[in-house]
Amino acid sequence: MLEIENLHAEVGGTPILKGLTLTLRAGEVAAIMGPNGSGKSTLSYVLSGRPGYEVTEGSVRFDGQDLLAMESDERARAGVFLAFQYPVEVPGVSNKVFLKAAVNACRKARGQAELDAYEFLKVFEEKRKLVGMDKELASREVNTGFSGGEKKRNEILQMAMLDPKLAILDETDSGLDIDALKAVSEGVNALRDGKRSMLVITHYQRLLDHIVPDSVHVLMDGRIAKSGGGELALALEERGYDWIKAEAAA
Amino acid sequence: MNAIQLMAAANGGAGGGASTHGAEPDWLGALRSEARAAHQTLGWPTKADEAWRYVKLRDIVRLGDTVGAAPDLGLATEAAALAGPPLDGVTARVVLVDGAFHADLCARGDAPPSVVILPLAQALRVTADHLRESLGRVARFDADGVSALALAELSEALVIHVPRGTTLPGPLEIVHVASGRAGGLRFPRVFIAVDATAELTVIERFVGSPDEAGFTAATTEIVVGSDAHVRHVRVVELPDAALQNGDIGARVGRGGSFTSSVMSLSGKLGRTSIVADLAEPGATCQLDGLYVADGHSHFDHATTVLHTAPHTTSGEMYKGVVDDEATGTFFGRVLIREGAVKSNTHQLNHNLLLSTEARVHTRPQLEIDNDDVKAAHGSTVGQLDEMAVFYLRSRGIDQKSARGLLTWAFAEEMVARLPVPALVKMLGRVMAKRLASEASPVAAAAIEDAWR
Repeated sequence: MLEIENLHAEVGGTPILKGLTLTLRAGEVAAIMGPNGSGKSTLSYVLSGRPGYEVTEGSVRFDGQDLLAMESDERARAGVFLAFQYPVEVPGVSNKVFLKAAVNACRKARGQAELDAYEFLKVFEEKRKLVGMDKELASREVNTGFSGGEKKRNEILQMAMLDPKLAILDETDSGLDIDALKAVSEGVNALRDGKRSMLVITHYQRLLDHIVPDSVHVLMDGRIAKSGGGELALALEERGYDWIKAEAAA
Repeated sequence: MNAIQLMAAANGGAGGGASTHGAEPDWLGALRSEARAAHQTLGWPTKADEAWRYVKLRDIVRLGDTVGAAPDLGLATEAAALAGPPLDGVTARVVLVDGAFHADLCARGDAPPSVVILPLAQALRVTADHLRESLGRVARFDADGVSALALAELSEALVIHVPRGTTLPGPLEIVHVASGRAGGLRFPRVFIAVDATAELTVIERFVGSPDEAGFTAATTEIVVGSDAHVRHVRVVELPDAALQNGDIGARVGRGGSFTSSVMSLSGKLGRTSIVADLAEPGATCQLDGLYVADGHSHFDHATTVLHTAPHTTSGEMYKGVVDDEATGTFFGRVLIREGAVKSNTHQLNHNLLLSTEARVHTRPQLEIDNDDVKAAHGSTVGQLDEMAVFYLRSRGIDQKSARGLLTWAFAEEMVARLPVPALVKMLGRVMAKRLASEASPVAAAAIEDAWR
């Protein structure tokens, strides 16, 4: 599904990713953990094709295609979805207008029939309920004036609508209180179907109590320093990141 | 709509020079002479006139001082086609071809019988007091040479009078058709008096034949009585070579409100000058505007709000989308006079520049003569938010569509604020087609659904 090989990337001339290698199979939910500044968000932006994030070495193959050769919108249509750490407010564009344009762009590229207004609303309602999003909120201007939790839930609604093969959740837990965290996690879990792969990027273990990963990878200084299962996340929670640094240096 | 009854062509349908001059009252003759003298003193505006500073004046001046010939009123079919069907929900409609009435295309619908919708010559018989007191005085004719000439050359004018406590069921639509045949200069004028506690929504649309290349200087004078409410919408959708100036003057009485929406959408030159005088305590005004300029268009807006009386409130919101080698200008003055204590004003102008050759000049200006007021103003000139573009693209929307959708959204805010639902829908579609759908059928279809 996703093969990242020796990935090097820089932002504004500063190297951030320094030889990252990671493989994700279809249906796998992998957690990427790491201290601040280790390159977690850079990885999510590089995978989704944000301008200004320059890959200097390495390769990324997604579903057999060269992901790095594709524009950000092509990647989305091919099935890559990024749930933003800081979802962007888009005043003047309603969630429905935005999502209908996005959904139909994706469907068209995937050889599916575009949804008409009626079909779209039906799917929209179904997904809105699935992720537990407030009805009134779902129709408002994209993220405009939303609270932190509402913005994150809106990301999950978009994910549900766009039906990606790979979802990258960039610190989806940041800025959420425990109730919002639970609600958002439930939305994510509802979309976990054994086929969709997920890259769950987080600073804290607590998210992984709700979204239980198949594998855990520790990102340090732009590289995967250690990989393991759920027990690794618990060890990090208990002991912090320093012991991995020491282990890696040894 | 019913066929028009009160409204007949002023005299055999001739526009141009002769309609009212023969029988005009002394005061009107004197006023026109005064305006003629003012024009001779002031001449044409120059770059030195702040309010005309960025206008390419040679385009106007080269037309000379010749006022357009009397329009050919045998253009009913053509004018009707150019005017298009009435907007949904309007009560009454007036079509002026090159400034002259086209009675066949006018209808007063369910307007109450007491409401006057008449050419000047006839209106002088029924609303003489209003006209004597305010005609040529609300829109200041001595502001510049163009305003002065417009009054000096006054021939026909449309007079609207809504008496005390009266309301029309729906808006009044006035369509100014530039036929492309008259050439030279034209000076249509609309005079509107809305008495105490009455209400009026009026839409002035400017359209033209593809051949139109003349200069139309339209004047609209609006007298808003005590606790009266007037909403005025000016929509300029002229062909590429047309030159247009609109002078709007409004005087707002005690507790009254004046709302203006200006939509500058096409034409070579579209200039709008508004002077709103908040003349009595409690008067308010809200001036909104949108200019969408591309090609070599120049859309220019000069607004002046006079806080003359205490406890007056004004708001202003203009937005511009400027592409190609076009120019958009906003010059907004707010003057708070010494006696206008407890006044409140806020003014905003936001511009989106879509090309490196596009130009925006923005100048909000506050002049305050007392210190017991609340005032805020600001302006911005910028490009699309690149993070928002990326956000849309990360959802599968291609680059061009993402930009189109964001540009449309920027403009749509002003369209959505229009006080007439049928216009919101019509111009919303125009904007979606122009800003979003050429870029993306998918985006356009999504926008279209939003209006269902």
